[in-house]
Amino acid sequence: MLQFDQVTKSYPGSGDVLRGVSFQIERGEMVFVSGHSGAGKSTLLRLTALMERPTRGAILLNGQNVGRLPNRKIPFVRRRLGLIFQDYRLIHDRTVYDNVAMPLLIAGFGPEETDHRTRAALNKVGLAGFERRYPVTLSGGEQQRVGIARAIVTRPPMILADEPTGNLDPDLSLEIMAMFREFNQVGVTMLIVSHDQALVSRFAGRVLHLERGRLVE
Amino acid sequence: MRAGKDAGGRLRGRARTFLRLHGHALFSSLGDLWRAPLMTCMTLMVIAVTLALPLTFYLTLANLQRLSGGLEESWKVSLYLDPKLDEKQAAPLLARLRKQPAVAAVHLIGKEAGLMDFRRHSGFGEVLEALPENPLPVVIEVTPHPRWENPQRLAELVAAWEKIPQVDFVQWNMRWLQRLKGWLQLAERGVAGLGALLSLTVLLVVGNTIRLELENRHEEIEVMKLLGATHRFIRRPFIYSGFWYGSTGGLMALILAWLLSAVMRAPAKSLAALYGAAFDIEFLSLPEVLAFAGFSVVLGVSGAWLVVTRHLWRLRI
Repeated sequence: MLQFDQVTKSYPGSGDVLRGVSFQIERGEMVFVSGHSGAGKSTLLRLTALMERPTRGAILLNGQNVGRLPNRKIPFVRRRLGLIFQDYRLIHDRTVYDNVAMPLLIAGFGPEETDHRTRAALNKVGLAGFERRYPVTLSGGEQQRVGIARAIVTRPPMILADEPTGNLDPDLSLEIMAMFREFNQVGVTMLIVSHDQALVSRFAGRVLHLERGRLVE
Repeated sequence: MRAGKDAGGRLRGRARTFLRLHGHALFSSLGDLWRAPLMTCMTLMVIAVTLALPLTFYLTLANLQRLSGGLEESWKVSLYLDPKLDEKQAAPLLARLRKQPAVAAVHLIGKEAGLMDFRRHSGFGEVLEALPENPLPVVIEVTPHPRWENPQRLAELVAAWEKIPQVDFVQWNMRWLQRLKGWLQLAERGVAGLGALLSLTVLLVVGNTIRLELENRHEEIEVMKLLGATHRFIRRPFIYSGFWYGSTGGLMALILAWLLSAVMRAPAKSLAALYGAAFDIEFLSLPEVLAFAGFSVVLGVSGAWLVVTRHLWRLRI
């Protein structure tokens, strides 16, 4: 599903953030990426989501080397990924419904299909009835659940989550993680970045541990 | 058969998606403008006034040109003779002129005939009654041969006639008509230049408004990109905003210019009446209105397109 082959990423002035990282994730796996801040976790995720390009090495997504993909093809790769962010990244002047429906609008789904899928996604994260609310009127946990609904609404084969519980208290974090495991059980490949060792260790899953840009298994 | 049906269905599906995406952009851009009514109104007024300015100049010029075109393109030249000469004394000159190859016809206007003409047209008849004798000279009206119907050749001819001792002065209608046309041509250039500058202003105003909007919605645009939106998808509502600015601003400019021409209509009419002419200010023709509206839309859309494309190009995610 996802393969990193000797991937190095360096930024001008700050040297190598990732150094020769190689790993492979199979379809239907649930993988955590852990490590201290600055270890390169977020960079790994940004590379996978095509927000950055590798300096050296290859990144294969479904066998396609996405590191060298021309810019105009990037949107179509992203539509097959569900992205979840630490700071939720909701659009504040749109309702919960519109936020969740956004990926469907972008992909050009019809109105009935959009409505059906949006309501199903909101149901799944336990936010049925929140359609007309605005993100600012929601708690942090609820906002993150809107973000999750938005990530699953297109039913992507793979979900990338960047510190999804970073701003939430332990109970809410567990709840979110349980939700992720549910998605994984129906076949969605999960790649979750988290610095919370305690939380990660409570879930059965492979852990990719990063230390100063290198992978330590 | 079946394959053809499938292809048709796919095409219909694609057309539906296309219409849906454009419909969404059309109305979401309208909604965005509606949400900030004061800002939108102010921008629209700036665009309208900026466009109404060259439009009004153009209208004024077009009407002046129509007026000058209405003046008969007369190549006739009037030779005013020395007032001391009478009709009889003018006869040899008349005969001499008639023989010239450049002359197609000559017509002598005697002192009495001239007086009657003057009474009829000037309204100063009573003044002349008070004079002891007729002060008007004999006039020879020369129609040049068609081969001399050219300002430069005619000017040479006129220069020669001016040297004839009996001739007091030569009046040449074409000369001032030419001058008027020269002035109008100059004004045309000026209006075109001004129009270009003010069009550029509209482009910048729309561009700047859209740029502010882009900055306000920077985060939203980033999120949309991360969710797989193409540049085209992100650009579309902004292009439609440009479309609304251009079309509405253009329409408002047309209304402003029309109001202005309506206000000037009555005084222009009465002024023309003083000159014994029937003249009415004409507004733009339908094709001109459509061309202007189209041009305004092009300005709005291209202003938006330039700014959004540059913004997206600099966005590195």
